[in-house]
Amino acid sequence: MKKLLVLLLFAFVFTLVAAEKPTLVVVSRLWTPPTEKEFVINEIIKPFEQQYGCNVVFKTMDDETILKQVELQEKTGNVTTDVVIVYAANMPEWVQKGYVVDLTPYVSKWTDRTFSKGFDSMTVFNGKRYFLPIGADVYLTLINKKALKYKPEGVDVQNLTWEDLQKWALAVAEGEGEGKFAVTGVPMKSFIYQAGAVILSYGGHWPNLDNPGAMAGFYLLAKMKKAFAPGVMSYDDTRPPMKREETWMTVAHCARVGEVYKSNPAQFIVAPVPKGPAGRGSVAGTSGLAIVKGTKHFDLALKFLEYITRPDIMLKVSKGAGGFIPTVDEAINYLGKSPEDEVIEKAIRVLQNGVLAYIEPIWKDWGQVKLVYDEIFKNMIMKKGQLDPDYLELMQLKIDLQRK
Amino acid sequence: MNRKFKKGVTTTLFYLVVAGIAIVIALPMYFLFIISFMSDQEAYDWPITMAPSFANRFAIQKSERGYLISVYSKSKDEFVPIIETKNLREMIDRVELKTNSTISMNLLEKRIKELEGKLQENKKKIDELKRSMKPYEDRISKLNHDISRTLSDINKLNEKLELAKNAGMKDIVEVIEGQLKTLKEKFELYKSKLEEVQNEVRHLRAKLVPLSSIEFTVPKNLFANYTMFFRVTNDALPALTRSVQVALLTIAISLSIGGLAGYAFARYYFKGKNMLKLSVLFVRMFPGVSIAMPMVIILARMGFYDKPLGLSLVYSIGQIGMTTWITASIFMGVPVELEEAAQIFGCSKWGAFFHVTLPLALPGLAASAMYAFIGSWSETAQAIILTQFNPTFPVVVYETLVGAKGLINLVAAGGVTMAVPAIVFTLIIRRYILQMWGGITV
Amino acid sequence: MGYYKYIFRDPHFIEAIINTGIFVAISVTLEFIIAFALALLINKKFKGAGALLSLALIPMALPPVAVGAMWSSAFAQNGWLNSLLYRLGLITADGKIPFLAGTEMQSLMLIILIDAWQVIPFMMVILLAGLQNLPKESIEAGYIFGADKFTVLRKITMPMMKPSIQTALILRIIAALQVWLIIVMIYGYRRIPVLVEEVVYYNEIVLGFYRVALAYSVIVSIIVSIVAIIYLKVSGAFESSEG
Repeated sequence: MKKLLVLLLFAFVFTLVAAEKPTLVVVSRLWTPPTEKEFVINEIIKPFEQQYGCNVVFKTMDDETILKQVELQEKTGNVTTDVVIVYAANMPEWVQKGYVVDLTPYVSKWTDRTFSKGFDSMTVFNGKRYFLPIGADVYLTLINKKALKYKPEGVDVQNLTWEDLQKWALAVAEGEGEGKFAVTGVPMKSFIYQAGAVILSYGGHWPNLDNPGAMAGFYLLAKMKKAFAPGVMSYDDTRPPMKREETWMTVAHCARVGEVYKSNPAQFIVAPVPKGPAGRGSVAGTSGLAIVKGTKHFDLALKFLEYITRPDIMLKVSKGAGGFIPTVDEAINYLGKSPEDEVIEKAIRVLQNGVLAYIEPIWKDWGQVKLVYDEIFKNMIMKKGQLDPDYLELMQLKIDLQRK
Repeated sequence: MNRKFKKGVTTTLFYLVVAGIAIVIALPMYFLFIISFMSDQEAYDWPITMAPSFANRFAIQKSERGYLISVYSKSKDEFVPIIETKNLREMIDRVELKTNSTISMNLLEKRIKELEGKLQENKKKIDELKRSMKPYEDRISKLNHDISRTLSDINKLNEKLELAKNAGMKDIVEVIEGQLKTLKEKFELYKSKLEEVQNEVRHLRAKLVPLSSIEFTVPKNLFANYTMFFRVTNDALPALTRSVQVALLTIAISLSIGGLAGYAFARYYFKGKNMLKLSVLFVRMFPGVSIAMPMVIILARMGFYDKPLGLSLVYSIGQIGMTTWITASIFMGVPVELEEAAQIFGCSKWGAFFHVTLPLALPGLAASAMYAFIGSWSETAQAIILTQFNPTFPVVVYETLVGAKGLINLVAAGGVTMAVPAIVFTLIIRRYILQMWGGITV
Repeated sequence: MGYYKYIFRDPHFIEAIINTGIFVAISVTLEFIIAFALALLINKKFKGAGALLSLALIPMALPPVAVGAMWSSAFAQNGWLNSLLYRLGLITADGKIPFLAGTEMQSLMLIILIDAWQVIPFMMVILLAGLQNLPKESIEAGYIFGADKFTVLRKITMPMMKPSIQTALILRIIAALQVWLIIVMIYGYRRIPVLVEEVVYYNEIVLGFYRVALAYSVIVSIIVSIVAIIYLKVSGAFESSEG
């Protein structure tokens, strides 16, 4: 006990405040996997530090935490975070709360790059650009080669239709005695994106449910009930079950697909998202860079934004960090043949030729809309296994409630 | 003799029970521990091995797209492919990520040269074997087609069956069930045939592999996950010391305030004591997550932003109630008479407290200290928003692991690293919990 | 007030209350019995008691990161628990147990077991500290008067330990009513709704619902205080301290 007391005293004495060094703090929701983070720090940020003679602290966190951190800083007037990278769905809240700087006057001077038009609906608010898109995503198909032996005749993996995939997945389930198809189930609220890919390829008006395309999409998904893995309701991510080979097939976010594929390129096949009568449907999203209002290092932050959105740097980031798609049109011309290039190339094919939908800034709370899809998955697909148009009409009311 | 025997049996049984308890407690931790030493390949294999390996066996073959490298899986008892490429640098990198073994460029080039030589030498035999495998492979692909067709037929019928059942059409149900039965028999037949052919092929391939591939063993870097973890986690060491500071400060604050309050509750009677005693718990009754934000904002406004002391204040608020209750219950157990006796023998009131009561209450104080340490050690949610340049250890660990969803071995390594100081502290404190009065047998 | 109405109309609210109730009732009873038995066992000071105590304390010291990694890799269908059962010959390769695919009730039981694994040492230590404090003489006196072990336990040890038992139980009940992290770590949000999980859900997962979360917290803390007061009244903690 005496030793403990000494230690306690020691602790009191050492309650010190570290000397603050003027550094740029970048907090990101992108590039969270350790290898990607390492790559970004060593290959992207180090050169920047050398070029501009500064220090950059690069941190990775989830969206909610970033917002909370900055909220605290804004409310106490002590802003220490300079640049944030957040997801499209959360951008309206950032703008609404006034935590980010309008970048329009600065960005208009950069003539060597064009930000892909598709993402403007998410990053530009009332004609003002608050966010620079970076690391876009679409959905891709990932197949373990073990599933190949059940592949229905005449099906081309690189050119799947949803019906092919449904038949294939059901055949796998029948042959193996249990479902081998993974979707992120209820826990992470991502089912809306996976369902969105189906609905869009049937010409549906996602995320609305009361249209023929959505009905057709859900008809297909409900019929797939048996194809879903037994543990599907608890999957908060498709990576672990795919890596454990508990599941063999999934249609998922391109970065997740890229990570699993990279871990074992000889065992997996990557393909674009399946197509339907209306084309290759996918929900596309992006993250965005922004400067925090009240930053003490505005000029440096701006330089950082300019640096990281240069076409060559952007491609370098996209390649080094999984399967995200570069969001500057000029970046696309330098693709090679490595597994990353392959994933990016397939994602770009979806982005260019697909039937895409974006999260529009018309929702009061996007989380609630996502929740509706989770409920449908739980109640209609997994419990009943049958299309129930009346139920979908009912759930549409819930979605409408969230409209601004 | 008989009695001795009986005693022996009871002792053995007793220790069996103890061992059983120990196993239940230790097993999950054992797996967490060994997973932290596994490579990606091992950690996601089925069934997972009971101990991490120390070396990896690789096999390299020539293929259409360059060279195919595979690693031996103890669980599956076969080589599993990793990557097929011409680019040796890429091959080495991928292999390292997957297996935690670093193959040197020199070694790889040497092995490939060997492989080429071997292929030259055995060319005739290889071609012959390949030729004899061809018909089997054709049969396999045909059988696969048959199987997938049968399965899709089965699925179609299943759908119809359900419809018919729902509609209550008994005669049709029967017909479909009959059809389904034949189809399922067909499926089983194809499956057994396929297995037969596959066995043949496996047999042939077993002959082919030694002729057309080179095997070699490379030691595995057992601590690769840990080195990776510390490489990616910036400022791990300063954060660690900061965390220890915060934890010790939390103990100091909560134990001094909570302990005194506990003593007061145990020894003195006053009006409204019950309500007051209940109210110290109220902080714990209110779900902490929802008030965390306003609370840290207040603290930040008071100038505790990014300072260890601020965090320990936050943590102490939650701990004081618990400390009060635990110490009160312990002080209640210390007879007042002992204190009074000490005072009669010339001790002051304080002296009696320090020399008699405090040592007796040590187990309870130790327990409270332990909880305070554990509670503050792993707290992330509040620390993450209240710190920027001076994060605590859980914060930097969180930043590293937030994207490590598909890397269970790395998460395990991080978890173990974070657990070690808390475990060490707990084990130090343990001495004070089990020390007093000697054994009481019940 | 609108927020309260919103909560009461939410079907998840009822579900959360029921789940929390079941969780608290079963887990507290189970954990108390095991913790008390374990404390008595360790208190016997047999050879290796110290080692057992050290081992038993470790689960408590594990950070959530480690606990999450441990159980998520355990209950995956191709996880280590199934691997272990398979290697012991208890299941076949086709008979893997889908631990996480059970009904809501089964899932809740699984959670209770996992939670018990981690929380039992917490209760055990408080009880053990209480046991350490008992004067040996009174228990020996019991034996002298011819009481058997069980009677001594019931008539002497338990009453003398009342303050410790009450403390252990009240702290545990309060904590159990607010369980959420372990559930979310294994099943994610909204799979098995419990009260505080809903608070966190509204607070952190769906944005812009801070006031709902706050209203929820108030409801939770009222429930917790009522339960705590009832428990303290019934167990006689108030009277005993009143002397």
